[in-house]
Amino acid sequence: MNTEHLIHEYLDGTLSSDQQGELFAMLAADEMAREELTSQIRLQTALRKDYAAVVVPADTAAGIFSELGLPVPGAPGIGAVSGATTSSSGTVAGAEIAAPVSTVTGASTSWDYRRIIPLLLLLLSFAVVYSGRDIVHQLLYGTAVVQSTSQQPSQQSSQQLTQQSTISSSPLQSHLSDRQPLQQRPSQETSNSEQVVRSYNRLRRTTSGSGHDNAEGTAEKQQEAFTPPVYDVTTTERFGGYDIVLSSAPTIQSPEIVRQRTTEFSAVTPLAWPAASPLPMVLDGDFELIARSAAFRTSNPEPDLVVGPIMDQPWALGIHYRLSDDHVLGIDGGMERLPQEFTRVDFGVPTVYRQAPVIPWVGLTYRLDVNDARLFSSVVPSASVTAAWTQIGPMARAQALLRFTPESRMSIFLGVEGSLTAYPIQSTFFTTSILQVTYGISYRF
Amino acid sequence: MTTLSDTDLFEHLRMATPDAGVAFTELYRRHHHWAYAYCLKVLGREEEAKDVFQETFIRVYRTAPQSDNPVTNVAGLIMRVCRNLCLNVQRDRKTTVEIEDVHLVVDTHHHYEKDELLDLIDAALDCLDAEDREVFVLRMYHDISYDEIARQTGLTVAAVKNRVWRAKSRIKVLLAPVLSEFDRL
Repeated sequence: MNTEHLIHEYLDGTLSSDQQGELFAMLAADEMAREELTSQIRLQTALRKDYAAVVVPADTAAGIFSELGLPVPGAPGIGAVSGATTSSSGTVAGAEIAAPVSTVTGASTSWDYRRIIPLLLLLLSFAVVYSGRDIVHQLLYGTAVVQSTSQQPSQQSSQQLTQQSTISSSPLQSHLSDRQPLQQRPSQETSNSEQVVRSYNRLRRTTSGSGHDNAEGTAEKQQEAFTPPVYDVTTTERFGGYDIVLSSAPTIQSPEIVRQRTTEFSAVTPLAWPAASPLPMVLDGDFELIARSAAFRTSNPEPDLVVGPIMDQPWALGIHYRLSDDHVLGIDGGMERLPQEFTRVDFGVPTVYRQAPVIPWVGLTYRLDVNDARLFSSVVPSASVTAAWTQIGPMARAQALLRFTPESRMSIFLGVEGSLTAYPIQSTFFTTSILQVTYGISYRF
Repeated sequence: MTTLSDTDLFEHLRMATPDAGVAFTELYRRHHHWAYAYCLKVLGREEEAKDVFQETFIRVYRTAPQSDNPVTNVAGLIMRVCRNLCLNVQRDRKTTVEIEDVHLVVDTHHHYEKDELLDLIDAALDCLDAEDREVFVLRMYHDISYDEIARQTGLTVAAVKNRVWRAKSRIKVLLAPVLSEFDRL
């Protein structure tokens, strides 16, 4: 074997240790041998640079994916510098064609920060809606938000109808008054009406017993023309855990009556949410639309095989009907990625499958709102269970939530959700259980 | 997907799961560079290399569901498909081009730019016969072991070593006037 071949095998990594000694002796003694070594190293370096300079043309790569009907990725090789790629079977010495990449152990348990983005968007949208509720009210109803006053009204026209707001300290009482038909309400509005009528009659008796000038006569005519109203425009709205009664009532130019009303209506809210639903009254307050998502998932089998993009977020929508103040029934549906691990016999060969398909589900939900256990007057603990069905098998879901209702109609909630899905594979049932933090928003109609 | 092994990714293709497209994209990302380099250096013609490269990955994707068992050496599978397609192209080409007709002329007085130097390597590779060229590319470009090359080509290890040495000697002679130029790259 000549010197050139020895050098070639040395650079090739196939030269034996004995021959290496022989080569090194040659290199030490022979200038031509050293030049040959330099020459072969240069050639090897040139070939590696040539290899690194190879670039897959963008149209060639795109042609593959378009031919297969797949989305063209923004991956290396498509308009990218090929030198930046990290080929696993490239020029690393000793690399085999076989098994050039990692194993399954890399299945990630790390949390993708992008999963918090929907929650942030949800909170941001809620903040926008909350701060812009005046504008929303204007858009929905075309009028300004009712601005009530705790000041004693004075010198208003005797026939002017002024909208006032009252607040009931008992949510239960207000709720009952809201639920019952108007004519059956034992509410204080009826007694108010009676008091107004009585006061009006007293006023008539007082004024009819004395002499009058023309102005007084005009006022009396106006008062005689006044008919005590029926309190049939009372509605109830929930705000921060309190039921706010909005009513239309006459203000009569009488200090006695005004004082009486001022006493009764002393606690007023400076701002009220829409007094009526934009939908027909048959829906008023009984239906809820719910949208929610989840984060911080853990599952068995775990972990998720795929850390997907933002659209991989589990989501659910629901429409719920409020049977009573505490009991809610509804339909929920959504989609989420379901990690699966099961064994199936294919062509006589048992094969373990690990996958995480995105599956839709739909189910019937019962929810219990524990209003008696309110926290900070506007946070209601609630629990719900859902019997759902998926395309692969039955699913059971359960939630424990805290519902924050800063407005009468809108709520945001945060809680924990668990689900169990069973699916038959060749007569054997396998299960997937998921535990996750869920959050969302609801709106009452 | 980036954390899965080639075998697991190929399983998505084989079982035609909803994630098959994503799995294929990841397999492409891992293997496209060496596969295209192989096509380009073995065939020596860019248009033919593009066609073979595209056909290789399209075949891998479309024939995956026909596999009865999981594939443990996906890179080897891609290489087999790629090599067979290259052999088909070379077989068809032999009817029109004689390899002996290709020569390399190096101008020792010319100051070569980077692209020109790399083109010289391709021209030098063109001067090799197809069999020597293939084993030379597999060994010198892809750093594949002699045993694996022997398995892929059906030659003995000794024959592979001999061909690589022969090809390297030829290339070295052809590029000798400009080898020092490569230090600038």
